Amino acid sequence: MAARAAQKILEQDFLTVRCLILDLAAALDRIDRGENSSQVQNHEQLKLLRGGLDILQEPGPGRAEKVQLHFSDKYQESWNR
Amino acid sequence: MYFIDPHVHMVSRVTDDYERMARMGCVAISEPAFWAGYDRGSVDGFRDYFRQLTEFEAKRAAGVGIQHYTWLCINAKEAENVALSREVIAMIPEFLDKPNVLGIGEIGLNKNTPNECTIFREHLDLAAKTDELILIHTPHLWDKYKGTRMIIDMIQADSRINPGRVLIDHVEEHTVRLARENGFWCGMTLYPTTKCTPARAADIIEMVGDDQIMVNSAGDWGPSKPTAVADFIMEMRRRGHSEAKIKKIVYDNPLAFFSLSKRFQFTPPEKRGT
Repeated sequence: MAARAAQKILEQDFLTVRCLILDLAAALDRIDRGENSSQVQNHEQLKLLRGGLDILQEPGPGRAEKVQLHFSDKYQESWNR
Repeated sequence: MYFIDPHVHMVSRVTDDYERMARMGCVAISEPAFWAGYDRGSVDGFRDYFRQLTEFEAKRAAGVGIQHYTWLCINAKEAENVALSREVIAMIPEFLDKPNVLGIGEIGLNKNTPNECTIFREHLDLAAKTDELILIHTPHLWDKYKGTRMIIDMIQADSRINPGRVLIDHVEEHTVRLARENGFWCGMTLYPTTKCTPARAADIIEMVGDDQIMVNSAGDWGPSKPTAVADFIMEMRRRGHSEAKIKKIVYDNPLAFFSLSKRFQFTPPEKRGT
């Protein structure tokens, strides 16, 4: 099967993606509304989330793989020697 | 469409789930041995569990027309107890002639610790000595990429293991090519909150193709959905993929992999009752 037309994918998935963005926005707002939210602004997990969001702005394809690697422990080549 | 769920922990599910899966077209499942939610205290605990997998579950599944297969091991989460793990590995051959056993699994890593690696290698040794298929669990979340690479390193260090007789499960965007390019079969796990969604699994198929790959629900005692393979079928249809392509992933590929087991016997649904 030939790849589907980008415009068709965009039209089919628009509302789903909009919903996902809203979920993300609401989740970040939830953290900001929490008590002492200023204390977590430099928390490692929040930094990781922001880094993940930055990857979404990069040109694709391959963003999903980059996000996965962003949230992954590093592999050491020589571990088994 | 008929489908096979190649990884689902039915001991944790009710009979209603078997019935629902059968109504949706499930004709066979394979059930790897896994963690019960607590660490078992003795080898006899595992012996009883293996009886459940090789005797009772096969009967329960047959009650709704589903053919049940299984894999035996001690899960990576319990591998920190090296002494108990070795007792279990020594006991597994008692069950290797049961008709629904496909091989050793799901073995692998959880937190990528030295003890987990020790027990993983000893499971590999058992599989090599007994010429069994292998089903591999890869770690979740942060540990997955590193753990998958470590698992592949350990397999490649054992020249007796043929990657074409090994399935690496729970692959995602960052690990699927590692498995595929090294000759392994792979599985994508469809979970509601972690692992892969049906849409992402369909994306991965569109990116890497449909050879030596399958999807599963890995339904268990946590948040999971034993009908997730049917959700994947719907997602592929929504995108306009052919019925033949979908069938290859959800039926033909699991069948081809299971057929590598010396004990595997399967009656296709269209041949039942003839």
